[in-house]
Amino acid sequence: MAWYVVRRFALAVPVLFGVSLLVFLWVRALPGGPAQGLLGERADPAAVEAVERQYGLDRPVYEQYGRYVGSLVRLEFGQSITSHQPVLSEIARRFPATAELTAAAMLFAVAAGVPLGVLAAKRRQTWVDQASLVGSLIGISIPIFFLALLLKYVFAVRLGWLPSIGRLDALLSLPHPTNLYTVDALLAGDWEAFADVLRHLLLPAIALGTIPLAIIARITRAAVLDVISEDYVRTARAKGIARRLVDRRHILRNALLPVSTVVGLQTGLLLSGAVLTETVFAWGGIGTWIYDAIRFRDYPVLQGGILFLAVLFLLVNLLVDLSYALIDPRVRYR
Amino acid sequence: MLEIAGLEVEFRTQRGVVRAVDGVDLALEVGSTTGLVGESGSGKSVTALAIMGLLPEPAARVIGGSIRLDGVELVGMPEAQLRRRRGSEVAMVFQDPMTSLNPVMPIGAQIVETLRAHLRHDRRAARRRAVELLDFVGIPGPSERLASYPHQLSGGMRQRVMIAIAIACEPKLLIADEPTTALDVTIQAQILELLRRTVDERGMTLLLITHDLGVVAGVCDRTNVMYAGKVVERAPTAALFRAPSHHYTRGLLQSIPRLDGPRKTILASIEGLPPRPSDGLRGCPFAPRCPARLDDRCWDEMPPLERLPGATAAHLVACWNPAPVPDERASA
Repeated sequence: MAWYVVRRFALAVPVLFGVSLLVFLWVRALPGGPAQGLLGERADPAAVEAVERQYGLDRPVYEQYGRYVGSLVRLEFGQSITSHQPVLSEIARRFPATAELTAAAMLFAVAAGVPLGVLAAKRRQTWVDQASLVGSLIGISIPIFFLALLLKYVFAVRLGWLPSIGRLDALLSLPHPTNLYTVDALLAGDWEAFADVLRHLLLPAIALGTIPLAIIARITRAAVLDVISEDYVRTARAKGIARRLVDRRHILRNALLPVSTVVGLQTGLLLSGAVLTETVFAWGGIGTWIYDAIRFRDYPVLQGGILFLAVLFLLVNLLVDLSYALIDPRVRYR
Repeated sequence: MLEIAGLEVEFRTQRGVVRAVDGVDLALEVGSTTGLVGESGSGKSVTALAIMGLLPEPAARVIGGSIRLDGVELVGMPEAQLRRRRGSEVAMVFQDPMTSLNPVMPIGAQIVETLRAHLRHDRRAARRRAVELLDFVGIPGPSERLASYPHQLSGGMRQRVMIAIAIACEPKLLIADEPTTALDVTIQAQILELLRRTVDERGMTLLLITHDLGVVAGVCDRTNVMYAGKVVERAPTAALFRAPSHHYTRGLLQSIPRLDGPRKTILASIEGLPPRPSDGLRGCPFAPRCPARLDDRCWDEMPPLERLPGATAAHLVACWNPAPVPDERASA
């Protein structure tokens, strides 16, 4: 297992170099550049030239790439051209916001999606099953910004139950050692802040978790239906053990394998940032950061940020693969 | 101890209703070993699942007859009560040991959960008992094997584990549905020997379901031959082999390859195909394939299961024109 992990890390190196090259070329293929982003379209050509010289953008592309790779090897990611903050510290500040939102969204999606899928499978071809199918289709096809706005309108504006934007009430102060606000509040022992953070998390998590929820419910239903007709489920029933034990130990445990794949992939997807949800709820995460960087052609942020997301994706995939071995003893990694 | 009377089971399929078991009577005495023989689709496994209360509902359903275990009616019994009997009073060994064990659960846990479902064992007592059971069914190093997963065992070993699970709570009735069909020939003999030893030593009653007359010959006191959802011949096993009188039974016996015959002979087979249960025959279901059928009667009227003329009282056959009992051995 350890050897397998080492090998996966080694295999990640060429992948990441490939990603770095693609991103490097892609940002330069975009029309305009950081100078225009900073100075606007009617900028003085001399000022544009000065900015380009300042960031070495007047050099030949291969030379720029050489310098970029050189700095990567030294683990330097440069600074944002627009904010002048180091890319790494921006990631350290913004990624926890995205991670926290992703965790909350996936928690919601799994906690609701798996039971819903099991229920639909056990009541297959009844109105429960049909209702869950229709619900899932709506969940998958509803535009996320629309759902986010709807939730905000109903629960924040009309009912006033929940806050509409941000991660924490402006009147509350909280030290941010981790930037995961839930953890920060717990570390500070501040229960009022903790409750407020949760209230802020609720609507964006539901908005972001709805699509994964629908997918997880459908996959769970299919997986449970596959397993339910297996011989070992009949064996379990022949033993005379309680029905809920048959469901949990024999059906659900075996059905979890495909479900865990989907959970992993969806988590990876959400971690790379949810531009729409973050925008609607003014959530300062990775998604809006990258989106702004694209608008301003902030090359260092794009290069560093996307490379970071690639690393993240590889890690999540590795974790998913390793989780197979936990769920299914037949899976062995060497 | 087990009495089945007039059992009828129907399957509702997309192509209509199919009667898989059509008026089966069966009586098992305590400690007896009974064979139920027939080809695929003859209704033997469905009969077993009906006894277990494990028919795949809602597609399959008992529509008539009764199944009594020690005088208690099982047909129509509420699921909760049936569940308490499954595993503790009636247990079953299934055909394919490769797929009948949960792949993600250690075998020890799979035995222990049966024990704990029915007996008030604490964890340690259940574990001890699981080791004894594995030892009894002939698994070497039983205490180390508790943590093994099914994929770490061979097919024969897995079937031994299945038997250990089935006998864990000392059921009165053990049903084995094609327990050796999925195994190598050499392993088959070992598993049959284990089954025979199990029922002998533990005083269980065995219902052995198979398509293989050779298996029945080695294990069962009495044999029932099923065809198209009906029992067509019933006799003490020795008498059945000596004087098979239903032409289907004779056909089955003739299709067993012999080691002492000439090498070049073509293996005998029964002409034609078994009727589809949806064909709706009025007469004997074997009539279309029968070499000895009588013109009108066999087509029109189902023969009752009756004592075979000239044979012992225990030899019953459902045939209008049964093969006669050979004279010279009739008294044996």
